[in-house]
Amino acid sequence: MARGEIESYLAALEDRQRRHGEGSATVGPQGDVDSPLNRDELELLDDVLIEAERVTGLRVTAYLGDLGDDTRAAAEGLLTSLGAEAPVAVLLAVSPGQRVVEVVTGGEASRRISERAARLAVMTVTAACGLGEIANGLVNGLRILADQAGTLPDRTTW
Amino acid sequence: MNFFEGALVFLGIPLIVVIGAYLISVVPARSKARPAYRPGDPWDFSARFYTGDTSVDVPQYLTDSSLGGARGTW
Repeated sequence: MARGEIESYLAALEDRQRRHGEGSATVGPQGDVDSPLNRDELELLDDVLIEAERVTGLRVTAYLGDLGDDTRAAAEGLLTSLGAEAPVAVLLAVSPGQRVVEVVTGGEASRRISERAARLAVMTVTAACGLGEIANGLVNGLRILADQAGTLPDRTTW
Repeated sequence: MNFFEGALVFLGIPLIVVIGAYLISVVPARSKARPAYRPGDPWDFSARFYTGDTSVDVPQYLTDSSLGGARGTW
């Protein structure tokens, strides 16, 4: 490998390192400090997410936080940040500071969850969040999305 | 040791210890806890992204469907 090639390769690597994680939310354990949901709510949310994924076969995600100026674009960016799983993913994004709920379904998932079904979930979330019950809104919204997506035939007996 | 002294030692001291532990552990946490969210309040928690870890089958050939969904405000 010539010297120039190595330098350009290193520059590309550094650029990739810099852009790593850009535009995608942190996933995984983040501790209890500064958590908007308490332990009971987190446990219930966990159960609901896992059950939803098990029966629907879709990647079910929920986002709780600020969505910026263009909330739709931010929510779609979060969905596409899932990479290869984005087409079979569904995202429920709630921004209590902006009082906005966004449901985004990937290309394949949108064939399972129609826009009408997504609106039903949004209506539930806005009803709960309007009372200040963010955790209930998330849980009920995800349950409705999972119900609307339906159970895969081979998973009815799981 | 009469009955009163016995009660003081075997009930009073444990009671003081329990109340002390409660004051040390629960009260500071309660005072630091944020008030419950009410619509219209600012939201200054860090952003959270929750998802399951069930393995997902991505179909080999994707249909050319666009993103769907809905939005709403309260």
